[in-house]
Amino acid sequence: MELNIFNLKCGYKIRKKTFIIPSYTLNISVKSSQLIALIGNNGIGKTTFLKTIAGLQKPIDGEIEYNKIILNNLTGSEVSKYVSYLPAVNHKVPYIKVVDFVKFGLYKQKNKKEKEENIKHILEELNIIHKSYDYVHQLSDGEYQLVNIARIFIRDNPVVLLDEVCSHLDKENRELIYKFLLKKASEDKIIIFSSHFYDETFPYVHKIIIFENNKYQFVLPEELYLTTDHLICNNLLRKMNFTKIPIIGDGIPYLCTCSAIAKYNFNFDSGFKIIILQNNKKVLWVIKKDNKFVERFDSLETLINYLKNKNL
Amino acid sequence: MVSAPRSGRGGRWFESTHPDFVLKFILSFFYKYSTFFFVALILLLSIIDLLCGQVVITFKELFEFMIFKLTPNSEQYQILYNIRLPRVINAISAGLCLSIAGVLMQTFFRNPLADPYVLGISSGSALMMAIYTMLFYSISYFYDYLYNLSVPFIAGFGAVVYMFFILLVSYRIKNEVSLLIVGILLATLTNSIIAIIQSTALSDKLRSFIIWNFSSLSAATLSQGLFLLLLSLVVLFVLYKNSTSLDIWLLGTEQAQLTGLNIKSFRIFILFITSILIGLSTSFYGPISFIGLIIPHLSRLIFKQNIHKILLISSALLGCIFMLVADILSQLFIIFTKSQSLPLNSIISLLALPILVSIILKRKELWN
Repeated sequence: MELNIFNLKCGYKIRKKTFIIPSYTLNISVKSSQLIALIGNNGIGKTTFLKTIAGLQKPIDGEIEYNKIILNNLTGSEVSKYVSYLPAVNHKVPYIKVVDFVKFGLYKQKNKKEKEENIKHILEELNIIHKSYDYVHQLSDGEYQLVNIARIFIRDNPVVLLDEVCSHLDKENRELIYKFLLKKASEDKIIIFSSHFYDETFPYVHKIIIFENNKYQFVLPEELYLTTDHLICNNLLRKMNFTKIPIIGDGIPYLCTCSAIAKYNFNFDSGFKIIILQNNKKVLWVIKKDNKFVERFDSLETLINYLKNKNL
Repeated sequence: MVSAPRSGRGGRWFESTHPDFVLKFILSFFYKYSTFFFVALILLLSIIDLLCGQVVITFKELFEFMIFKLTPNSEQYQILYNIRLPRVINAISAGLCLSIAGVLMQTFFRNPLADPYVLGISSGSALMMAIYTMLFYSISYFYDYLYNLSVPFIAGFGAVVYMFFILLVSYRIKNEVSLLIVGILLATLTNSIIAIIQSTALSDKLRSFIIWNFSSLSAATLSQGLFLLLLSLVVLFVLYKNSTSLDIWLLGTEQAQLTGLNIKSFRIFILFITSILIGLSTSFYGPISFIGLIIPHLSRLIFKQNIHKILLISSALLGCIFMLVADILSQLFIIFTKSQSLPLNSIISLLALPILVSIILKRKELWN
């Protein structure tokens, strides 16, 4: 089972003008039982890409194929046998109970009766079983998102696309969702979700698709850490470049120190440097001037406070 | 493991919102047997409606009439068979038909304020009727049978045309209130065109049109009423069987498509059914206002459910009850004031007022 995307150009036409978003052709092949994160800045074309796979938008060029079936030749209701899609914004439908709402996902499904028993199970997994007889319009946005995810997954489609799956969710629920998606992906599914909390998703996703301005990448998330010139690390890197003081050290303490110092506009005299010492999980910061010991700190906060007061 | 919900707003909704045990019991009983209760109420109201009128008819005569023992030549039989029974059947079928149309339109436009009258669709029927009765009717003047046969199609055609126009506008204007304003403008425009036609029409034709436009239940015959009743019941059955597709439509067009609904055929199906229902009822009874708007809301107020299995059935039953009550009230008004007749629309509007106010106050909760 594979989802293959050949020479796909997504986009839309307005008055004979074609806008291709994202601005390059895509060739992606995804094997089943994989969880994939889709990453990119706002307006880069994540939603357009997902909608094109879901059959809500016609591709300008190219083919989308699942299991040797060409999806973009099928009608909308036929695509829905293979692909589920959850949009970023879902309007609340009033006066419908959560259980009934989740049951909508079973429309035109085989062995509907058997699957109805799964509703309780799926609500339990998503930790909203205590809301099962509440009205959907009385739920909070985060809870509604969970209910929508339940509705998508009660429908047992092999390809699941989720746009901004973590919107409105708190950190705990995001972790819950990542674990849930990973578990669902292991049941022979392909799950692609877009998210702006990309650093959180890295421990869970198998692969990531990154949309940039001129190119896209389809790589393992860990590879991004290794190739540091990437946009994910850009934020940290950019801040590091702006620190006017040389910082010597490595690993996570180094990155954290850089990002903490970069938030302040410290003016440093030349000759100053900060050395980070790591010993048995204990981290020490030492400030030296012209290789002479000045001050020693055992927490980052004290270091920052010292620098603030001193304004070297 | 998470234990089953007990506290808070868990459980069935009435368990939580009403802590009073007795009320809870009564409510649960009511919800369980509400269909039987409503059907019984409809039967009771029909009997009351049969007894209402300018000529006094006793219980005994009515009972004899119902078991076919009343002599067909008697005055009471004639009144019951030719005037009262058609009126009751027509009230039931009009309520059924219009409330189903109202549910369908509110779901179709995903707009709690949609209604054949408010969106100007019944005025489309009225325009076609005006053109037909006042300009072209002379062609088939001598063929009364042909006239009766052709009227539903003419009125239905007007409804279809206006429905499609509103549908086109609804693609452009997503805002529900703006769509409503377009509907009201359309209705006003149509009324002015009708007024122009009226000013040029001959007096006898004008009279027949104005009587039609007043909307009354006594204009239609028993066979027309029975036909519409049967049709509405068939439509109700078909919709009940496909009620999940209506539920899914509420999720939005894209989600409906991705949940497996065939959007194109669904649109055509709903437009077709709604236009036929509105066209037929408008041609038989004239443009009856507000029923399609308030009855679904009344059902939502009572049952607090948007699941169409419940919404459709309860709206249909409530629509019948509402029309029967309106008819009984108008009959009582005629009896007590000894006036000639009372336009049905005025009674319905007066009855609808409190419900409309509650809708406006609760509107925020009803739809996003």
